[in-house]
Amino acid sequence: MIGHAEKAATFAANEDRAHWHDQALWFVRLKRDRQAESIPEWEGLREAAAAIKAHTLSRIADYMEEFERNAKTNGIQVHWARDDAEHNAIVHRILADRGITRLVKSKSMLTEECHLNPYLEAHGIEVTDTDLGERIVQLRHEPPSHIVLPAIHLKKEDIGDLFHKELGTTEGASDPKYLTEAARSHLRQKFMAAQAGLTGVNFAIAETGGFVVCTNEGNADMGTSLPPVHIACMGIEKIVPRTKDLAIFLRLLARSATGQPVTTYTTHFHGPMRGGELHVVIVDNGRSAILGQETFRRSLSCIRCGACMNTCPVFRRSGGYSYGYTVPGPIGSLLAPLRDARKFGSLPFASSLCGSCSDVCPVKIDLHHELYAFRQELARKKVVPLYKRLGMAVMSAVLARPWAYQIAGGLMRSILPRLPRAFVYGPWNAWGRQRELPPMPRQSFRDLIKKESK
Amino acid sequence: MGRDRIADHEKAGAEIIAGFDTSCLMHLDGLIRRQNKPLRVMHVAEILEGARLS
Repeated sequence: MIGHAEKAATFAANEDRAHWHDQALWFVRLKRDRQAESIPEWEGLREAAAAIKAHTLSRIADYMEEFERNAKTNGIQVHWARDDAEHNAIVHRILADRGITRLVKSKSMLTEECHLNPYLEAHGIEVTDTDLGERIVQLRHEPPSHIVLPAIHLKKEDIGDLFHKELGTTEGASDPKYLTEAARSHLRQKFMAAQAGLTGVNFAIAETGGFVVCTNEGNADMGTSLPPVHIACMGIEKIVPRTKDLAIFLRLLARSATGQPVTTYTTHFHGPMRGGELHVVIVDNGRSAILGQETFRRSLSCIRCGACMNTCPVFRRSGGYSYGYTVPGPIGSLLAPLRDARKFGSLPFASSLCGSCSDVCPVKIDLHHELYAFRQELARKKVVPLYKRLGMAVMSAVLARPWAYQIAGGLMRSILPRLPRAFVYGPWNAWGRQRELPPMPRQSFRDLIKKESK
Repeated sequence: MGRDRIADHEKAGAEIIAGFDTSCLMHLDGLIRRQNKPLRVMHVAEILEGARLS
């Protein structure tokens, strides 16, 4: 099992690109700050959002049932999926029953989580992601590296090469406007030919049975206005009780995500188009199990804005792929090991615990404290590697006993300078791979104080 | 992160990086020593000690 640190080292090896990635995301963070600071009631909005999410999660079953009742009244067909397999089968059945072979999708992290694309493709359905960033990573046969900015790991020259190969643009051309135009006409053909459109859900409203989809490119609107069948996939945590709650969440979402006052397109769906069908697939896929864990249930409040990624000093310098999960960054470092602690056990350690993520989170998830709590959980479950557990056991034994600490310090001061360099910086000294140990002082601080106070 | 922090200080023309978090100071000091940079890292206690002696 390759952990986060190893994959991050690969990313960081290309220093120029890693630095560029860091700066690109920091730019988004600064845009977010300007928007947040322009609203005097910003902290009040965060408080309200956190309270609404906490309340909703505490009676989520009631709100889900309310949503289902009202959605049905609106003529929406509601499907329930226990896990990813059920979700994929439901979507496939809707398409297969209608003989649909061409599907356009707007951004949906849930379908990434469920690996819907490969499943549908294996069943002979052409799936086209229509968000520009998503389309780019789809053409590269890669997953998104960021939930809001799926292709943030790529530079415009990379896109130029890709589009030259896939879409026939001029070789070497990397002008963003030119490349976007090329993608636009390519996607236009896909929209025209599509028989069904699939979207995610940003917010589902219990009291109306409707839902909201936010995009900047209008691709969700194109994909659901042309073909007669619209399928919307949502995790259970997307529910909010009332329409007026949107007044809080919509103000927070785009500002936190990209530093815009609001997404370019915020579309409310309250039923199928005339002569068409609207399906909502509600997915659990492990969410109820997270809800059952008191320490970590707040992670279900996440509205997927990506602010914690943009601000995280570790994410910015290690890239989305180093996390190995659909949702990377601080929130992903909770959601992934909550799903599989063994497979994603290194992620809670991919943090300096600086707390910047908790500061920017629009729904006030206490991310860095939860990451810290998760480390303790992993240690209790003995998922942490043996060398780390042994090291910690020795450390705590020494630090808990002043006499042991004094002996250890004395030994270090006298022995370390006499050891050959090749030994001190051997393969066991991971710290010393890029760093030089300080010279050993002749006496300890304790000796110094003792002498001085005589 | 350490390298970026050091670059920030270099750009600002700093000669000494002072702080009180020993693990952070050791990290920066370790990188600076390995790369033979002209910067120095000092703990606040060292500065106080220097002031007392002078």
